[in-house]
Amino acid sequence: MKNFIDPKTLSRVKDLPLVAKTIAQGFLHGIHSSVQRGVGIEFSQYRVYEPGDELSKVDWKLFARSDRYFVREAERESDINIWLVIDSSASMAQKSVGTGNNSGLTKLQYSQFLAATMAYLGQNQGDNVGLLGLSTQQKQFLPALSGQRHYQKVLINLAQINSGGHFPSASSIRSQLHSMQKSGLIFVISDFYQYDNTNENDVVNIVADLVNDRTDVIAIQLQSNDEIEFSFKGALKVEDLETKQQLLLSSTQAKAAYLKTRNEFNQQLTDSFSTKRIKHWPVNIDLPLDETLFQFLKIRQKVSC
Amino acid sequence: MSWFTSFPSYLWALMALAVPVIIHLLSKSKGKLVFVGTLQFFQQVKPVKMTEIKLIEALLLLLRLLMLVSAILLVAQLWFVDNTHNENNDIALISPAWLNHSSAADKQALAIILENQSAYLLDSNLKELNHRQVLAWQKPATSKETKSQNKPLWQAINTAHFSLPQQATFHIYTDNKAENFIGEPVKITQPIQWHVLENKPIVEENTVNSGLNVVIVLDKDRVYSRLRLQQAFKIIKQAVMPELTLEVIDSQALLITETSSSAAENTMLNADWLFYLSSSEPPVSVLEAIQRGVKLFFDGRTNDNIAQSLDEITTSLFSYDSHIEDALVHKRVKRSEQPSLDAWLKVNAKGGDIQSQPKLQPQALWFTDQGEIIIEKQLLPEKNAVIYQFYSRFEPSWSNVAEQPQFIHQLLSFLTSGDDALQSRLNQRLTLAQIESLETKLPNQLAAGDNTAFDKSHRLKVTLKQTLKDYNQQSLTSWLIVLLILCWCVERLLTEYSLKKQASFKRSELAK
Repeated sequence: MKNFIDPKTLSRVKDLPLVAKTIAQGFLHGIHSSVQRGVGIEFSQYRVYEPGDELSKVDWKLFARSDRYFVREAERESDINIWLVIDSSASMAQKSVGTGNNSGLTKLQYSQFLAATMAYLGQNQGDNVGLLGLSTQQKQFLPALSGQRHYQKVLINLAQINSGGHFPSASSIRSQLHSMQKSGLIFVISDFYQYDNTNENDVVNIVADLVNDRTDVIAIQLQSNDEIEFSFKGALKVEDLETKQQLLLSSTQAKAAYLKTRNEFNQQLTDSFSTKRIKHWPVNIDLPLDETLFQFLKIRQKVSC
Repeated sequence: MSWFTSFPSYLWALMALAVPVIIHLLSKSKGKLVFVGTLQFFQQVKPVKMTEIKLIEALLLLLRLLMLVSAILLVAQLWFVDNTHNENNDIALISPAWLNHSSAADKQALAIILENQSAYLLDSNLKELNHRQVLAWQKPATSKETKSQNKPLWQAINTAHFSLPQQATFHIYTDNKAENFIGEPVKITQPIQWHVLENKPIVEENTVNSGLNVVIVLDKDRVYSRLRLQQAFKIIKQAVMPELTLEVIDSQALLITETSSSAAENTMLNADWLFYLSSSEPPVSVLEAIQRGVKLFFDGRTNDNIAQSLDEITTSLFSYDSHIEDALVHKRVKRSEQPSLDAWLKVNAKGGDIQSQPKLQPQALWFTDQGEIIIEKQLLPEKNAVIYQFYSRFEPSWSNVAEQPQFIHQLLSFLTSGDDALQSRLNQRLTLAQIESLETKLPNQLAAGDNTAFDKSHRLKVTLKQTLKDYNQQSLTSWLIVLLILCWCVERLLTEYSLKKQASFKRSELAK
């Protein structure tokens, strides 16, 4: 459970705020440093002024009474919900075998690491963190709440997610999706491969349903080195993790066609995300998590400012 | 391909062929199993390419199998060569003598054995025999011919040793005539089993011969003669007469100890042959020896001294009616009074002993090219004694006879001719035990130079024969080697080709 947070990753990213791009009500609380009077601001404590503190944070009324400088600290009670949606279908069990220098993580394990770190960051900011693990076999749902205890619950639920089955249809997860649509920052972690690419159950469509004025949807597409490079040699027998279909082929012969098709798929995916105002974030699971996350948060910060 | 079925032992090696086949099947049936998220990217992959790869793989498999087969056959050939001879491990070597003297029943028995055994005629040609030839063997008409065929047995066995396989056991069929076993027994690697035909002696056996005793009496200055004779007798002793003994006595020593019965005198009395090579007058002991039947050989055309004394002694023999003691006592006294041999002959021609008279005529034994008599022989009546005269010396300054190679042969013929002992010895029969004991003797060094020369040429002949014999088999070997190399080359090329194909794919992908 605790394993989901890599100390190295945490040390790198813990001081970065998890920024919601969308400017909506309450979203400014975490950023504004002036005297806060709005809803959800709770007095926390006074502490003695120390050189370097901003003058605007000094409680001048108290200074008038006591002739001393106190800095008023407040706790923010945010109404931002951070939703972590994890695709736990069977295809998420894929991991790199072809090349060396890989962490040996499956896509699901990687997404668990990523979600745990996100949850930590959100919890530290006082945001509500909700979790949704999605597959036809198993559905893990945890409503968005804040607090240390809830954070523990998130980790427990995260650990219970196993890969299996397919991505569920939109109708079966309607209630959960509905609760998410209110407001917040939604991370959808998936490989975005289709079990059947025929109908409206398309993951992209489901994700697109979440998009509205108050939500910020980020689609995290997980890829492995094997998929990107396809550096196999000799005869190859590929098996679909979800359909269990097998295909015997020569890797050298198949490579060109494979890479071509895959590029087309990625392009298509990016296009459909951008048209639906979904932020697309492709992630290589065989690269270190801290670096990836750091880059992402940096970019988010710049955008927001 | 009969050997193919008859030796299934190395067929086990062909089981190795299963290894590449199994590897091939396993590698084909499995492939590397890789789990992927989706198969949608593989929809466009053409399965046709796979068959091409399969074709190349199958071709490679075929080539590797071929390589293995040829390699196995190459190795198996080594066994095959040995095996063919190992199968007929027993080789019958039949001497012409056996064929000549064996009964029809013996031949029949041998023919049955030979049906699954190879056989060779045991002479220098080593002709291969089958059982029909054995049955149909005709004894050569004349005995002379038989004799010429009786090449020394050991020599023939030696030939067989070189030209027949090393692992074979020799079954030697011969008769037990001692004549066959003249010479040094050869040491060979093949074990010998003797099948000796019990051949009853045709002639009744003579008295047991204790061997020849040869005594040479020499002047001190006749060093060269001494050397020549000693060498000749040494060779004769080694090659023909192992029981020959040779004594060399200085003539001076004889003169000094004339009256006393010394050791030298005793040896002279026991001698069969006396070579008197001295210019001085022959001492009493020599004359005495002649009377005992010693064969005397003296040289020097101008050695009148000896001729004189011989004349004297022959005369004395007749005069005193073979009273030896008298002859000895009166020899000196009567020397001058007695008429010469010629005179004696003249006298006796009238009313002498008719029977012995013609024997007194000297018999020429050896002529030069010009017809000059070199050696002549004279028989003494009533005694066994024979006197030879060599009208020369053994020194090179006198004549080169002693240096010629036939000198030894000539000498040998003197020793044997008129001497029934040796002939009878050659006619002697050996027992099986004796024959088998011969083999265990250590081979001596070959004495004469021409012997080694013969050996060399013989060996050359044998190897030549072997090469011819191996020719067919070697051509098969070379074919196999060529096949192996060819297979290997093509296999390498194909492998390189397929690798290159893969590499080119990679490069094109990188370029993208």
